[in-house]
Amino acid sequence: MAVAWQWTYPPKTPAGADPAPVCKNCKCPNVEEEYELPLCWDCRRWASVRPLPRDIKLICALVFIALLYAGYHYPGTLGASIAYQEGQRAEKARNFTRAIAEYETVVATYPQSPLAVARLGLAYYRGGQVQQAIWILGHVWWRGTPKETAMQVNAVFRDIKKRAGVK
Amino acid sequence: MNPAIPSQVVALLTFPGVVLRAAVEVLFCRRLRVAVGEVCYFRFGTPPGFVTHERPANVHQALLIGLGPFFVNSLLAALMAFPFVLPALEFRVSSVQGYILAWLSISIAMHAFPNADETEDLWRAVRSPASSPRTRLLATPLVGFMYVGAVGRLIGLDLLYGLGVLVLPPALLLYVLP
Repeated sequence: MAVAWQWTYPPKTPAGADPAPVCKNCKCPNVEEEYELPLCWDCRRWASVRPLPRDIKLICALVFIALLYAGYHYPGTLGASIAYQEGQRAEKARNFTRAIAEYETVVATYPQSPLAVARLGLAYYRGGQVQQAIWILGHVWWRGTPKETAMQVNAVFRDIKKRAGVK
Repeated sequence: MNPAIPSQVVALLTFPGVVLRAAVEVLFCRRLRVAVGEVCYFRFGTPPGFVTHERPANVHQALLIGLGPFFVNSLLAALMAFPFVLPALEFRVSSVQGYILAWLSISIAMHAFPNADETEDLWRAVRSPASSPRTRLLATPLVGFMYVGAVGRLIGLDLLYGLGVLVLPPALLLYVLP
């Protein structure tokens, strides 16, 4: 079935199209009058339901899969983000046990994050767990942490050296 | 996009956005039973993708067809990259899949805006006598924004919008979180 009208781009909308009492496609008299093109219900349905080509469906499916993949990561990301904020709050309140637990949640999700690992190490140190602190902070020693956190880590190592009597 | 980069190159680099925009517009036409004429999902021209359709039956249909793809594309783009941009900003971690999703997100957001002709149709629909004062009041700023986006393509505003959609939601969340 072919449509009786063709458009070129950009569309030059025919403002004064002749009002046709019959469907422009099948000549059926039951035309939907609210629309500009005189088409019956069936022909309008046919004209509006344009099937998507297979390639386009494939691209849309890939985008949908990407969206699902992103959605799969939402709980972990938001959980880690909230845990990080909670950890910082606990650290400020000097509740280091809670801070350690929160930062451990973050590190479990993002073990490659130097910032999260550094915060965990600092929380261990301030919570009195020096062994774990040394072990954890040793991992971020050479990695790019933000300046403020790096300074805190350096201060911890200086303090540990001082206490151990190492020059 | 920046005039120094040919629009064909931009279209090729951001083809998912071009295709998705046209597909969403076709789906809106289908949903609203507006007869569709020519559909081009992708081409090396200006605009890179387009959908021609009959004039919608009323202003609300015109607004849905004109603005719907903009909102759908923007929302998809924002949702897609969020779980990878948030940790990149907060924990300084990045991953290959994060970069891929960021590219997809920017591509989709860049083509959220309707082209100049579609914006003109939208403007005509909003200014038509059939449009109620409330619709005009609500829709005029949006259509104005669409105009800015459509014209701003020439100076790279589409890329700026893409980056904004990518970065702003997670950045705002981090700002809001205490």
